[in-house]
Amino acid sequence: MTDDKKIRLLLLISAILTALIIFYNVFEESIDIDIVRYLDRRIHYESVISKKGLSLHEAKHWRKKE
Amino acid sequence: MKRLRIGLLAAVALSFFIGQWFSLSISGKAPDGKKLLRDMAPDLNFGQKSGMPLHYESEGYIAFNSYDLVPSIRGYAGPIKLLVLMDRESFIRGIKIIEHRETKNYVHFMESPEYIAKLIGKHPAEPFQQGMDIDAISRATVSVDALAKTLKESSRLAASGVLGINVKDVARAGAFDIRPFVYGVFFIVSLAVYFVTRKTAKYQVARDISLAMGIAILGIYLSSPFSVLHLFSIVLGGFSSSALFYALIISVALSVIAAGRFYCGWVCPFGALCEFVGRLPVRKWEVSKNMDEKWRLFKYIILGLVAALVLISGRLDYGNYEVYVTLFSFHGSFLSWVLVFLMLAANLKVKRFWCRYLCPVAALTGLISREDSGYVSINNCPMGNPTNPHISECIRCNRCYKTGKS
Repeated sequence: MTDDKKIRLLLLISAILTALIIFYNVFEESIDIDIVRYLDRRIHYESVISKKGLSLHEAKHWRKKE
Repeated sequence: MKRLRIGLLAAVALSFFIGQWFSLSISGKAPDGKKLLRDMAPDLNFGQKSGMPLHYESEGYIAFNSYDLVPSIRGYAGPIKLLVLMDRESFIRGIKIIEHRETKNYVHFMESPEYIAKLIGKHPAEPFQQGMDIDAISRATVSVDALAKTLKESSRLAASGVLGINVKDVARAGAFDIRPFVYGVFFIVSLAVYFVTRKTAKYQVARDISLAMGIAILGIYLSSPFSVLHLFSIVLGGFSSSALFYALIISVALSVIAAGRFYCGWVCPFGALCEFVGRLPVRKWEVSKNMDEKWRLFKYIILGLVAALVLISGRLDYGNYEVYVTLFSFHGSFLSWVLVFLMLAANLKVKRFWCRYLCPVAALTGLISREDSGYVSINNCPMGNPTNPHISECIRCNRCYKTGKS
């Protein structure tokens, strides 16, 4: 691989990283909230719901089924 | 370069006006205080905001938006707006930070529920002094001070104006802030040394000392390298209470007028780290002139995009990707840290990689650099510049000035 190609690759990785950081800055709040919500549901599912033979769904759905 | 300057200026102006129009059109959709109060105190039923000073009332409690009472108190990048819940004896029973423009890297702990919980139960007659009854947070002194001052003053005014409880206006002991002076002395001495030594390459050690001081003073001690977000904050009307904030902006602006990218070559702590890493005896990659020139424009594109994003959204935190902010605040997302280490390691193979291709401060200072034909870049340029570079790429290291003249 030539030096030019290596630099181009490094520049592309840097550009992608920069774009991802800015993307994360913009969507951080919703991403974090969504992850926390999912984990809450998952934990509740693993400890309570799965034993009732129900699938992983929104909490409202479980309440209706339960 | 002229076209680039005009294009970027037009993009910034357009973004600003779109942002202003956008913020005006959604001004009626400001955070719903009653909804926030329901989240904070679900058992209480508050009426509409009314009275003088403006406040919400419920049985046994009042609540208010600190910005309605003390709009002039500011942190590093503008006011810190709080929703405060208070009982009839004027003890603080709930706090929510509604809005601020401080850099998250520095204030993430101040926003945490653990930190806020320590302020619950306080009374406006208490001193609200960092290091006494308020926990100080290293690298966030100005923001924490603004939070404490906002909370104390707004609570005091609400207590007297709404509850009729007069709390004595005891002036908080303000410690003399030596930091702007330390920075000012450092900057002026470095600039003076630059001007005295600029026509000779003999005193490169002076620049090395200045760069090392940049890491120690601006990076580690002050933890405040200049960022484009400083400027965007001013454009968005987020004026600061910190003298250091203005010292940074004024010093960089004046130095760009007088000496181009002097800040990058003599003061910037991250630039200094990049340069020192780049001096390690590792074979450098050969960058072809064509590709180098093309990719150097990339930093202007990023600057334009970040300016548009920040000015349209009115959110400074959206544009927070600068590696020196992450490194010297010692806080950032995982991706930010990956970028920091990648940008430092890249200097082993490409001189001042970040400064050449990605740095928004380099783009900004480069755009308005004063022409000086003395710099011809023929003596192992730390920026890897070709001979007779455009002045926007010169960091005034003084290695080539005299050689070019002779």
